[in-house]
Amino acid sequence: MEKTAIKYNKLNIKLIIAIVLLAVVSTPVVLNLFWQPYDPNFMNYEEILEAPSAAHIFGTDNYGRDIYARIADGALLTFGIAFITVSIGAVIGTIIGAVTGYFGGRVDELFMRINDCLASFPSVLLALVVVSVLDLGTLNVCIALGIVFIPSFARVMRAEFLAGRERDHVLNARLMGASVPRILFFHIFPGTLPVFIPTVMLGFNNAILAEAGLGFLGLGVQPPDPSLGRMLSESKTYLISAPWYAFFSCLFMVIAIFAVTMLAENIGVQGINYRSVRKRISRVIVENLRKIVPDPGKILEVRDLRVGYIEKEGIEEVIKGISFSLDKGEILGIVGESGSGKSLSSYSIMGLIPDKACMTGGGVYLSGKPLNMSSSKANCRIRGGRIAMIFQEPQTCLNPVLTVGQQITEIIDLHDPDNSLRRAEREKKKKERVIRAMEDAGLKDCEMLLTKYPHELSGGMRQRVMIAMALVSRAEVIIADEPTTALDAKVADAVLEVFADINRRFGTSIILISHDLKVIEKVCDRVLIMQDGLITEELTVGRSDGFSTPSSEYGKALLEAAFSERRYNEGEVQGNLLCELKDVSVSYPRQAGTIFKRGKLREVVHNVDLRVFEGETLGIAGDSGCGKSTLVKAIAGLLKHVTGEITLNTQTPAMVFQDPHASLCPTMTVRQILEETIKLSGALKRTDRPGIDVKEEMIRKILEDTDLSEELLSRRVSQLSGGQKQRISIASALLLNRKLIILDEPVSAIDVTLREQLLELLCKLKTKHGLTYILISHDEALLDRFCTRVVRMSEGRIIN
Amino acid sequence: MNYYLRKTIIFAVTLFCVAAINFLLFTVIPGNAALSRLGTEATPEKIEQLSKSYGLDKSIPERFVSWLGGAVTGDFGMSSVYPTRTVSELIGKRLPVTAGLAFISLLLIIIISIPIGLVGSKKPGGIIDRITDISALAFMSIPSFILGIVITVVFGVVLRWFVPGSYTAPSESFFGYVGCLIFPALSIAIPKTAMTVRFLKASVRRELSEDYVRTARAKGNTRDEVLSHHVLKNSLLPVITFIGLIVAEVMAGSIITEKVFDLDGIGMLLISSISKRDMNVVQAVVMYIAATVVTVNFIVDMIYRKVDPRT
Amino acid sequence: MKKKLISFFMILQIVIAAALCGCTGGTNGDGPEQQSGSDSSVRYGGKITVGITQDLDSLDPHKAVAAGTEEVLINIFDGLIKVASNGDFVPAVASSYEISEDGLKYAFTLRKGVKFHNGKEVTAEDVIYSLKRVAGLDGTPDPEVLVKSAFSVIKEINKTEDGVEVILSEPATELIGFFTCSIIPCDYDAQETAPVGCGPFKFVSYEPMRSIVLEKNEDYYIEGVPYLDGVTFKISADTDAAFLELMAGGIDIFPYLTADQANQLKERYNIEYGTMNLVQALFLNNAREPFTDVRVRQAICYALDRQGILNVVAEGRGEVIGTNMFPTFSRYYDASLVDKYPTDTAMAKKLLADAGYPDGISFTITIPSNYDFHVKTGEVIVEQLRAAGIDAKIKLVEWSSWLSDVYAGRDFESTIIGLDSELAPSDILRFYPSDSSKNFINYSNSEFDEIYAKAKKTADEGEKTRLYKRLEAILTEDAASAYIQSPAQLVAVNKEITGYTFYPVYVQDMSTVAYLK
Repeated sequence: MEKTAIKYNKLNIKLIIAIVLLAVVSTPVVLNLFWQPYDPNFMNYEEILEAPSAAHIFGTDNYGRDIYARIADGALLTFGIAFITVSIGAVIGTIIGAVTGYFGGRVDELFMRINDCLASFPSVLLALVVVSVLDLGTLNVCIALGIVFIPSFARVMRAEFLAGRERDHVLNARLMGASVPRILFFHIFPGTLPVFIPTVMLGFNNAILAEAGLGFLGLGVQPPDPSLGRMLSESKTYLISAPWYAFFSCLFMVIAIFAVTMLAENIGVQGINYRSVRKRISRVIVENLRKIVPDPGKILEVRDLRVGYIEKEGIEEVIKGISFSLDKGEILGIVGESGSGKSLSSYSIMGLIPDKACMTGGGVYLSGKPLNMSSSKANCRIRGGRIAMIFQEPQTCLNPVLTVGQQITEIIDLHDPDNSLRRAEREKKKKERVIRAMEDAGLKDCEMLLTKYPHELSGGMRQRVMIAMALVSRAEVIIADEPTTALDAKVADAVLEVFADINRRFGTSIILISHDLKVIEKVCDRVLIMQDGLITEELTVGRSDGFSTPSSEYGKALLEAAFSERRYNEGEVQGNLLCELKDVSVSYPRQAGTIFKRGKLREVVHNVDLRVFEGETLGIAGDSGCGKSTLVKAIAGLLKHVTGEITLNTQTPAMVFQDPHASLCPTMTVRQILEETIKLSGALKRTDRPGIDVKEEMIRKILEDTDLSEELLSRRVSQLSGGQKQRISIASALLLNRKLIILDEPVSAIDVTLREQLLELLCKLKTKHGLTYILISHDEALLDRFCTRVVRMSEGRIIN
Repeated sequence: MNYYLRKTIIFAVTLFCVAAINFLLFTVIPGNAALSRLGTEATPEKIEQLSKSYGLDKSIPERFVSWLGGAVTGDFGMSSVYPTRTVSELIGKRLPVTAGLAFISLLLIIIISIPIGLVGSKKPGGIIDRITDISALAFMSIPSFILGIVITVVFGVVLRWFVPGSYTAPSESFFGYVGCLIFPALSIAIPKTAMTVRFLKASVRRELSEDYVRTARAKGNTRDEVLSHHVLKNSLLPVITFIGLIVAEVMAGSIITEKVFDLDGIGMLLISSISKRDMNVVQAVVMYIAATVVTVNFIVDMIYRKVDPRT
Repeated sequence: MKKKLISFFMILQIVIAAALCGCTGGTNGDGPEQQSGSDSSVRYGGKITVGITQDLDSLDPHKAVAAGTEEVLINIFDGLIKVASNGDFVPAVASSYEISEDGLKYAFTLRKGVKFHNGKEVTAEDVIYSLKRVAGLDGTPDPEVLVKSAFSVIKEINKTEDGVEVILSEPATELIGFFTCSIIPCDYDAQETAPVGCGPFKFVSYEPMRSIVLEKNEDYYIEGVPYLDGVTFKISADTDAAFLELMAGGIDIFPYLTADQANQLKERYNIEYGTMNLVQALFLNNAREPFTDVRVRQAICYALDRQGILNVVAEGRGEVIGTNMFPTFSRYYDASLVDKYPTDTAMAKKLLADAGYPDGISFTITIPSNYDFHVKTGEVIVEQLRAAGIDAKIKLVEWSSWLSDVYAGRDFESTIIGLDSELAPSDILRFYPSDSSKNFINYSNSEFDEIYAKAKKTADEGEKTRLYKRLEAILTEDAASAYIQSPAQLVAVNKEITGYTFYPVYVQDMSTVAYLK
C-alpha cells in the first residue's frame, strides 16, 4: 500500500496573524520617529473634532489635533510605560521569586505572607496610593504599576525556581560547587524562560490596560503628552459626537494587546491543526481499507497498521505497517525497546491514538469486523466492553477525583446498564459485580476500597483496580501496556500471576507489552519483537524451555542482553575507608512551617550506619520509596534535615542520575555543559597553562574515555539518544575529578541492548581512574553482577 | 483539624499584616484632612484646631493602636468629611452596591464562562474552539471602562433598558436592585469571563493530556462523556482558585465600574475619601476590601480542600 | 442709597414666578423681585432630579465651604436678604433694611410670620444667633464654622423693636452682600444631620455622595412658591457620567455641561446659558523666579490667545477678562482692560529677551486634576506658550494636594484655578493685598494695598467705583497673573420644565422651577 501523502498547512496561522498585527501597530510608531504628518500637540482651532478625512485619516480631537499623529506618538509612550513597568516588575519579581523559591524556609514563608497581604489590596488601589505619595507623572506611573506587578511576577517565578531547585541538573550543578547566583541564573533561569517570556508579555498587556485604567481615574500621563490610556479617557466624553476618537485609540490598544497575547501564546508552538489533518487522512484510509479482507476466525487481527506523528515536516510514520493476529485464549507478548512503537501500536488497536498522531493506513479487526473507524457511541462502547486496556502508570491512569468504586462501576453503567431492575436492586447488583471483579483482580477488603480515592492506594493496588476494570465487563481481549514496569519486583510478580490466572479462568486473550523479556517469559505463549516500527521477529515461549531461538541479529542481542550473566565484580577490594555514616537520619518537611513555627518533618531514612571503602562498588538495593535515593543525596550533601554524622574522607562525590534527560541542563549544548563542568571543577586553576587548549584537551580526552564522538559537542540535550545522554552525564561526573561517584539507577532508563555497553564503560573507567562507586538500583540481579558489596534498604532502614 | 487551625492562624496573621500595611500606607500620603475640609478658607489656627479634633496630633503608633482597637470591635470612628456619620454607617450604606456588583458579576462570570469554556474545548482545533479563543482574547484586550461606557450608551442611552446612575436599594425592590446592577456587573464580568474561559480551556486542555483521560476513553466513553464525566471536575478544580483570585480584581474593577456607571459604592467612597484625606474612611474601606479578599481566599482554600480528595 | 447691580447676561427666555407680593416697602429696599410671567403656562406639583457633581461638604450652611454646597442649601435656607437674578439685593427674612449714611449701622426689619421648617417662627433671637455664629462672636466658636472675615468689623448686634441692628466698629459699605448668610433657629443643634431653615424647600434626606432630597415648604412666606413638590439633587461622579444619565433621561436639570455635551443634548433639552462667576486665570507665583520680573509675567500675557482658549474649551462661550473681576459685576468691571495684552508672540519674545531670558523660560503649571475644565485650559495654554518659546509643563495634583501645596504652602510656579467670591468687590480682590492670608500668588504692590484699604471704606459710590477700577488696572498693568475668562455655564433643562434662573452668585434656585402645563 502506498504511503499516504497529505499536504497540510504547517505554519502557525495565529503566530503569523500576531506578527502582522504587531507590524500594523508598530509601523506608525516607528514611522513616527522619522516623519510626522502633524505635530501631535499642535492645536488647530479651525478643525475641532473633524471626522476622518484624507487630511486627517483618524480625524481630529477636541483641540483640533491630529488623532493619527497623537496615536503614533502616544503608542510609543504607552509601550514605553508598559515596558518600564514590566521591567521593574519582572526584574525585582524574578529576584524575589528566585531567592525565596530557591532557599525556601522562613524567608519564603515570610515572603509568601507579605505577598498574600499585598495581593489582597486591589492593584488599582496600590497604584493609587503610590501615585498619591509620589505625585502624578509619567515616571511615577511606571513605578507605581511596576510595584503593583512585583508580587505576581514573584509568585510565578517562585514556583518555577522551587521546581527548578529539585531538578537533577541543578542538583548536579550544586554538587559541582557552582555558586548560588550562578545556579540561579545560569542553571535554573534559562529553564524558566518558557514560563517567563509569556508572563512578561501578558504583564506587558496588563500594564497597557492598567495605564488606561489609571488614565481614566485621572492618574496617568500628564497632559498634553498623549498616551493611549490618556487619549481613551479623554475620548470618552466625545463617544457620541465624535466616535472616531475613541474608536481609533481603542482599536489601536486592542490590536496591540491582542497581538502581544497571541504572540506570547504561540511562540514556539506548532501551528498544525491536528484535527483537520486527521480528518482528511481518515478519509483516505477508509478508501484503502475496502481492499482488505479480514479473517473472522481471529479474535483480533491487525493488518498493515501504520501510524504516524503529524510533524512540521510531514507525517512521520512510527509504526510502519505491522500485521499480526491474536487467537482466542492466547497471551501474546510484544517486546521492544523504547521508541520501537509498541505502546503506540497498542493505543492504535484501542483507537486511542494521541491527538498529534494519526493512522495512515491499515486496519484493526475484532472478530473480522473493523474497529475504530468512527467515533460513534456504539464504536466507542467496544472499548472497555470487548477490549480492555491496562496502562503503564497506575498513579496517573486513574481519575484522581473519583473513588475506586465510581470508576469501576462506570464500566457497568456504560456497557451493561440493566434498566429492568429497580434502582436499589440494580445498585446492589452492580456492587456485587464490582466486588467480584476486584476480588478476581486479587484485591482484598474490597468493600472498604470502594470509597477510597486512587491516591490513597499503593501502586500495586491501583494496577489491580485497573485490572478489575478490565474484568468487570468480561472483556474478550485485554491489552496490557507495561503493566508491571512501575511496580516493585514482588508486586510485579503477583500482578503477572493475576493475568495468567484470568487467562486460565475466563479464557481472556491478552496482549502483554513489555520491554522486559523476563516478564514476557513468565506468562506469554508467543512474543513479537518490535524494532523501529516493524515486527521483526516472532518467537514462541515455552513454559519450561523459554524462548525459541531467534533468527535475527537484533533478536539475539535482545535475548542475550536480557539474560546476560556477565559479571563486573571479579576480585576482592580492600581499600581505605572513604566515607562513613553513623546513625544518619534524613527527614523531609511534611508541612510548610510558618514564620513562628518550624514545619513538621517526616523522617524517611532512619538511623543508618554505612561505610564505603576506596575502590569498591557498593550497591544499595531496595524498592521505590525505600529511601535509597534520599540517603545518597544526604551523602552528597544536597539535603537539609540530616542528623547523625557523615564523614567524607574525600571531596564531595559526583552523581549520575537515573533520568539522563533531566540531569543535563536542557538549554546548553554538550560543549557548554562540559566546559561549565571544567570551569567549576577548578581544573583550570590547577594547571600551569590555563586556557582554551587545556579545556579542549580535557574535553577531547573525556569524550574518548566515554566513547563519544566529537560531533556531539555542538548538539543540545534534546538531540541526543538516551545512551549518549547518560554517557555525557558520566563524562561530566568524571570531569569533576572526584574519587567517589554515586550512580542513581544509571541504566534503568536505558534500553536493554545498551545497558551492557554502559556497564562495561563504567567498569573500565573505574579501573582507569581508580574510582569508587555507590550504585543504587531496584534491580537486584544487576547489583549482583556489578557490585562488590550490596546492602539492602527497606522503609528507610538498612537490612542486611 | 490541625490544618484548619493552622490556616485560621495564618488567616488572622495576614489580616493583622494587612491592617498594619494599610495603616502605614495611608499615613504617608501627603495632604491633611483638616485642610481639605476647610478648603480655601483655611487658616493655620483653624487647621490646628480641627486636626486636634480629628486626633491627628497624636503619634502614629498611638493612632494605630487606638485605630486597631476600634477596628476589632467594628468601630472605625467618624468620618472627617461627614462629621455626623460614622465610618461604619457610610460603608454600610454603600456595601449593598459593591457587594451586589461583585456578587452578580461573579455569578455572571461563572454561569457564562463555564458553559462557554466547556463547549469551546469540546473539539480542539474546531471552529467553536477558535471562535471562543479569539473572541475571549478580544474582550480581554478592551479596557473595562470603555466597555462600561459602551454598555451605558447601548443599553442605557439607545435601548433605554436601564437608567445609568440610578440605584434601587434591595429593601425597596429586589428586582430593581438586581436590574440596576446587572449592566454594571456585566462590564466587570465580560473581561473576567473572557479570562476565565481561557483559563478553563487551558485547564481542560491540560487535563485532556492526562493519562486518566486515556483510561476513560479506553473504558468506552465517547469524547463528550469523557469531558463531562471525567475532565469536568478535574479541570474545574483550578478554576476555583482562579475565581478566588478574580474576587480581588472584581473588587478593584468595581472602583472603575462604579465611576463609569455613577454607582455610589465602596469604590467611589474610597476614591473620594482618598482625595479628601478622610483617612478613617479610607483605612476602613481598604481594610474591608483587603479583608474580603483574604477571607475569600481563605474560603477558597477550604472549599478546594473539601472538593479535591487529594488534599 | 440704592444698590443696584445690573446683571448683564442674557436672562433666560422664561422668567416666571409669582408676584412676590406683600413684602414691599422699606426705605432702602428695592422692593421685591417683580418677576413677570404668566401663571397659566405652568402647573404646580411634580418632582425633579437635578444633577450636581460635587458632594455637599456640610448640611450646616455656616460650615459649608464648597460653592457646590451653598448652591444647594440656598433652597433650604434664606438669609435676611437675598440676591435677585439681576444682582439686586432683595429682602427675604427681613422685609426691609437700612444702612446709615456713615456706614456704621445696618438695621433690618423682620418680616412677620416667617416660619422655620420645624414650625417655629423666626425671631430676632434667631437672627442674632445666626449672625453671631457667622461672625465668630458666639463665645466658643465651633472650629468648623466658617467665620466670615468681613464680619470682623461688627461691634455688636442688637434686637430692636421690629428687628435687629448691626453696629460696626468702622465704616463698611460693602457689608450688605454678606447678610445673605443663612438664618437658622437658635435652639436647634442638629443642623448637620437634619437642617432646618426657612427656605422654599424642606430637608427630607441626605446620603453622602448619592443624593439630597427636598420637599416643598408649604408654609413658605412667599405665596405661590415653590411650584414643585420635591427636588432631588443627585450627586454624580463626574460630568461624563452625569451626561450619560442625562442622555438616558435620569436627570432633569444639569448645570455643568461642556459645550460639546450641550450640542448633543439640544434635541431633548433646552440649553440655558449663564456664567459661572469665576475668575479663571493662569496664576503666577510672583515670588518665584522668573515671575518676579514683571516683564516675564507680561510676556506670558502676550503669549496667550484668550479667545482661542475659549473657542477650544467652550466653543467660544464665556467672556474673556483682563483683570480679577467678573463682568457680571458690571459696575466695577473695567472692560477696557481686556485689550491690554493682545496676542503678540513677537512682543512676548522681546519682553522675555529684555528680562534676560532670550532662550525662553520653562515652568510648571500645577492644576487640580478634579477640575477638568482647568486641565483642558492648561492643555491649550501649554500649546500657546510653546509658540512663544515658553516651555510649560502640566503637573496634575489632587485637590487636597493643591490646597496644601499651592494654596496654603504657596509652593508652586503657576496654577490654573477659578476664584469665586461674595457679591462684594472687596471680596473679589481679597487675594491681592500683600498681607492677606489668601494672597497665595505672593502679589505685592504697596499702591494696591493702600487703595484697597481706602476703597473698602469709601461710602461714595462713584469714588468707590473709581478706586476699584484703579485696583483692577494695577493688577493688569503688573500682570499679577494672566487672566483668562469668566467661564460660561451651560445648563441642560428638561423641555417640560421652565423657570430655571441664573443669579450672579453660585446657586441652583429651584423655587422658580415648574413643570409646563
